[in-house]
Amino acid sequence: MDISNFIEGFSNSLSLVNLGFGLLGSLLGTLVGVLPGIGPALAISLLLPITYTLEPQSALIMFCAIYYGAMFGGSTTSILLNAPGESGSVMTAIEGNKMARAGKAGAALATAAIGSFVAGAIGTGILALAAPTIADFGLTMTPPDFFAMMVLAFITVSSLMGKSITRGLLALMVGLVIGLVGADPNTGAPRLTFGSAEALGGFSTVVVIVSLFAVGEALHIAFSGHLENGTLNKFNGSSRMSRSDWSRSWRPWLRGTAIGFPTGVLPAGGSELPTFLSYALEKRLSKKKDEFGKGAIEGVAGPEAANNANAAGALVPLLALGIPTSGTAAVMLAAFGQFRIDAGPMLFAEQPVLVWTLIASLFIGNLLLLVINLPLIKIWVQVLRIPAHYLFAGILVFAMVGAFALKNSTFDLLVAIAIGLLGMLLRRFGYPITPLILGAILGPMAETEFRRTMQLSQGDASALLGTPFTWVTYSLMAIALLWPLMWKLLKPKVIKQ
Amino acid sequence: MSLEKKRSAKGELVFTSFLFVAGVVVLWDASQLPDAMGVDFVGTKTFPSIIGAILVALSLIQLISVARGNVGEPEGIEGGEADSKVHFKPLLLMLAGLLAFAIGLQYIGFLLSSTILFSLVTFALNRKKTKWYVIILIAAGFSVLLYVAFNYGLQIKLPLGFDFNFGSSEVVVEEEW
Repeated sequence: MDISNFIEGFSNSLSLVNLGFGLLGSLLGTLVGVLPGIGPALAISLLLPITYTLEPQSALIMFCAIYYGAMFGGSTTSILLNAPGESGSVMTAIEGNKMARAGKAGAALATAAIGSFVAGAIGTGILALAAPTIADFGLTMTPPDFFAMMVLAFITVSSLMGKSITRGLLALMVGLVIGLVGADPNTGAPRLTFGSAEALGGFSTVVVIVSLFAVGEALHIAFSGHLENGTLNKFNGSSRMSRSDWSRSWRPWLRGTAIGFPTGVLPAGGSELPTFLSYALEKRLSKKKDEFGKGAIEGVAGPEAANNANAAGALVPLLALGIPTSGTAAVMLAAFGQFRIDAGPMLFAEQPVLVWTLIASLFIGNLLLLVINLPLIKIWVQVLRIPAHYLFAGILVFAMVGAFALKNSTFDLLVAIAIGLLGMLLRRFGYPITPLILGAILGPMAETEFRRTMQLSQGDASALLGTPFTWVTYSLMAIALLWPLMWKLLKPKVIKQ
Repeated sequence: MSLEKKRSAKGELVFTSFLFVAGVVVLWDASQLPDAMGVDFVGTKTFPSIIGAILVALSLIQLISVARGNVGEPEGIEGGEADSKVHFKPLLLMLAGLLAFAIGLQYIGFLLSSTILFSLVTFALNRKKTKWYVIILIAAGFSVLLYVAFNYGLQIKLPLGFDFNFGSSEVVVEEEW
């Protein structure tokens, strides 16, 4: 670890401006975590157009804090409302809500928040230690290596998300097609523009993400279901744990961290898989198996630690290699791009202060989040009383304004509606959205690496398999493709019991 | 129930066919690209062609799979519940709101088009019998707040519309309601 840069980064992160943006991000992150239907990926993409004029450092600090904060906040909704506030909190809802009904909401909320904090602190620590080393390794990677990494990310995320591999892969291909639109990067030849001059620049990432998440989700709700402000569980406002709660929680926290971090580093598509794995593990290890399904604290502590460690883990390949492993990380990559900063191996060499300020801010943000989520939890509960239809109406207006403000273009708004409609259809027919996002954002980068490889080998396609690293990567990919079979065998067992 | 499933399979067949057609279009578009061999070892056609080909192949596999009964399960709804029947009226309301916003923004300005979008989305999603004027009032209030925040807080100018040089558009908004 680079000590002098780390110290400079730390003192930087303590500046009033950076602390302020860290706090703002923590608050916003907790908010979107608490609110069902809005996740960190949407929140960050909604903020992209309006943070254009900010210092890159401040904006990125805020975005990282949102990512962490959403993982903290998601548990509150799961526990008090029995509806996951965020996709990483689905497992928390199983035990957490039962605990709340049994009058132990305070303990559930406390173990979730403290577990998130512990996992966030350990995860950020490993991130600080590991990322520079991985970045050094990244500097030695060649274009075919990068291409292989991106293909790995595509394939694993597509096959791990959702219930069917073909649907996941099809969603990915649709994303790649969206990424194709615009001028060919080398020759400028118009691709899929059908004569439209405005399409020549390609679809803006912000427009694609905002329309898929905000417009697509709202249309899906209107078409296939209805909103319901569920009934809140009773909660007296004090989140405390008894001695036995502590002794039952600390091991699941650590185990959750151990599961969440590596699955964040690997392209597993976000926090769903690790939280599921953590829940399954806690259930197996528990001495009081009969309590599972009736409010076992381990079932809250483990998954909640896992989803925070997962967020920290996802930042490792994002910062060190420029490879996103989840939807939110993909949006963060787009955020770096907006400020013309290349996330990846060169980041640590070119922008050491920025990177270390960011990492230091994560430590501080993690601490802020503990304070925001423990004593102030009552305030967040009030947020859940906002009628959901007004919330979605507000989000849609905000999303459309964001899509417009980027280039002051009506064309972008029409694109947003079209892609939103596509997002609705995908949801309707059980296609996962994350592979599409990854394809649209990472696709053009994969194309660049593909072309570099072919250029270097003078058109010889075997260069794509030219290094040992590519063999390892493609072997991992084969394993990932077989994984869903195992997942299918595992999942019904755990849910049933 | 089986009728419902059949209908949704039909919808999915149409959607999957659409993906297939999209793949064909990508392939066709790639074939139209000028070849720049010599300068570029890969050429302009290679990458789009690969993507188009995979899309075509996958959508064919999926078409067969859906036709054999592998119907997709709709994504769950966070903060609400899925219904067994689909609702066309709210969907159309919301789409109308979005289109009104997209097209109206430059003509009738942000305040009006945002009020329309907000109200229509609320009408589409609201199941309680909230009075329509309450919804429109909230929509208008939200729009004004957002306009002020963007214009003065973030220095992002949103179009006010009505570029006819008579008075400010705030007056126009009040006349509307």
